Amino acid sequence: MSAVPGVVPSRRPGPLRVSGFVAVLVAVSWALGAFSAWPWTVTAPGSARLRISLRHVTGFHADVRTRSAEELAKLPAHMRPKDASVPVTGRRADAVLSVRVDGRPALTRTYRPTGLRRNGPVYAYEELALAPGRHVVGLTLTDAGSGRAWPLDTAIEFAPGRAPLVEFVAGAGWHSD
Amino acid sequence: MFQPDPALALTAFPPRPRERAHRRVLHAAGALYQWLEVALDRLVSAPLNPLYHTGTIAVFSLAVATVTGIYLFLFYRVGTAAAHASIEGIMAQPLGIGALMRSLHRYSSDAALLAAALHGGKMLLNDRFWGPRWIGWVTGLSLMALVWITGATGYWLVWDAQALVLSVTTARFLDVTPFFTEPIVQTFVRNDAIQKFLFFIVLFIHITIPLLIGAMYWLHVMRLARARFFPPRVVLWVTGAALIVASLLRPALSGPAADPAVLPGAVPVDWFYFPYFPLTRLDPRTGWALVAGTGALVVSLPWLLRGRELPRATVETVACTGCTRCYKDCPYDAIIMVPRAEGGRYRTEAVVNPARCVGCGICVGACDSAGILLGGEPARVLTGAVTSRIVAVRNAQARAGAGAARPVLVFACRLMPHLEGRLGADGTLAGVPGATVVGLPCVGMLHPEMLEGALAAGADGVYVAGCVPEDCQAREGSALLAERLAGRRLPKLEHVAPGRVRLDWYSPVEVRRLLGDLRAFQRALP
Repeated sequence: MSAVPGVVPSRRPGPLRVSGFVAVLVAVSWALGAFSAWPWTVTAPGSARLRISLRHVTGFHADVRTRSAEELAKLPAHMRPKDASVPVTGRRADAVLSVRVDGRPALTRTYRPTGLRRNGPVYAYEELALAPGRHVVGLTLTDAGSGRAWPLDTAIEFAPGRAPLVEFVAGAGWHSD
Repeated sequence: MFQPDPALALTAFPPRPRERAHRRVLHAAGALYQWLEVALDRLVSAPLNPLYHTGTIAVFSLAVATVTGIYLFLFYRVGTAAAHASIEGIMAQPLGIGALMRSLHRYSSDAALLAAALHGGKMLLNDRFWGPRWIGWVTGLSLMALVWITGATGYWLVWDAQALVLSVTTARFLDVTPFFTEPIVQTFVRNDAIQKFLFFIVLFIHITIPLLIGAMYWLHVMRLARARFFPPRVVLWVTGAALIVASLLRPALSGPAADPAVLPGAVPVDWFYFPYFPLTRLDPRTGWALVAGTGALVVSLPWLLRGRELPRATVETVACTGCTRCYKDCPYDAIIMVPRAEGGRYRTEAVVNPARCVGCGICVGACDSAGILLGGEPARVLTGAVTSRIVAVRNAQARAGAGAARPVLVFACRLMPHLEGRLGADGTLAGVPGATVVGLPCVGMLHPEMLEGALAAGADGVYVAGCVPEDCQAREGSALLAERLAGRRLPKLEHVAPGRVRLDWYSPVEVRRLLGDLRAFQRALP
């Protein structure tokens, strides 16, 4: 109790204010529900896409060398290569991907090998927007060092809202959905 | 006739020099936010105004998310097909218990992030983010980042269309950095390429980050005495009820199961967590520039927008009796009691840690022996200034003759910048003849004896215009003063006739309401 009455006013909210508080929180709960699942158009309805994924190990084309007998001797037995004449290090060549859709060029891009010394595999992922329907897709992956190429020509049905995948895996070549 | 010393009257707390332009912009934005608070005050009353409880509502919401998360964890399964199916299984549990728990989990997570963002915005707009408060600002931003990470990983675990969009956009964002040899985006080209191990990792992050949140929260409140974790009981129950109502009326649903071979089209997105999704159409490097630039700017605000150096408290050792009142009242744990070095009558003495002191002066109001200096000035300077003001008003009345308004001394804190246009050089207040205003850093600085002394010096009434207690700039100044004046806390107000002292609470922008209340108080003086 106040030693001197009337100095500090009461702060107890009346029932009308409590009702206002409940109304505010009902509005906030509606907003939580609405904005936690408000739709966003990521891709246009009815569109289609070609997805291309590749992982490829190109050949060495610079700073190539084999290990000397002394170097091989220093390596633990399980790390010694079966064929010592195969180069083990150097800079790998770039890879070039070219894509044609229905005979028309759609994409040509060069990818550098990964790693600080550019001695790792090449990774790439591309998406191309296409009109729904059947398309003849031609892909060629070329090793820029050796000139060796891996072509694929295939007809793919692009249903609306679908994104078929064409994938190149080192050693296994191209395959599509 | 006693001639007041204008120098003395202005020595204690002179008008602050004009602020720099960017600080004036901050104050203008702050005034807009305060009007929003006032509007809600009038609708729901200040004690129930959710804008004053955003910090504790965020903590309460996180607690709800944690409890419901433990329940969901019991039924969750990892894997591209199993994850989505297990969530659908939870939603189909009997009596709707699973749906309720899952919806509460989502909505409480949303409420936590929303309340935390509002809390941060309030601290910024109310100028409570620099000086000793920089730790609260930086740890608060870290807390928001951690809450976002745990929320985003939670959305990923559902492995629906939104999770796939989140995965791909995040992967593209990360893939432009030099840290990942193999592009992360290639992980998500086929469902069968995604290993269960990835789900375990994301689940581990989702569960362990709340532990980090707990540690960061401790840092966030480490400079606060009597930190409150949960909102007042009514606010807590109604907030909880609102989350349950939202969950029952609009149960949280998953999108369709994620399938990289299907274009997502229109996806239901949680805009509390992913408001940046439209920006993901930009080049990821632009995204990095935006994130780095915005992050650096927001983190450095306590130094970019800092105000003038605060007048900090110090203890006059010879006057300190070691009574511990200042130590108990300081809302920032800035005062410690230490054994008295040179011995003497009292065993301990108070010492102020300047790194924690925000210069509110609450310790001055708690000290019976006037042993605390604020900005190097003792409380008697304020007392002298007050006496000087009252004498000036009485002299003006004597010159005006009969019918002059009764002299009222007004103490105000955050209202001062908004009153400046109405104040005369001697503290007189345009629109309320007879009133003279003394500005304080916080009304909690008032010792009841100052009010009694003002009446003894000739004021007919003393009016204290403090901050809304839930929104006190110094956390507890208004509430502590109310307890002192109501006789519930030492030092108590005692020797005052009823009706001559009044305390009321105002938002800094409520100048008109203050003027009306002040005139009414003046008219009703006994």
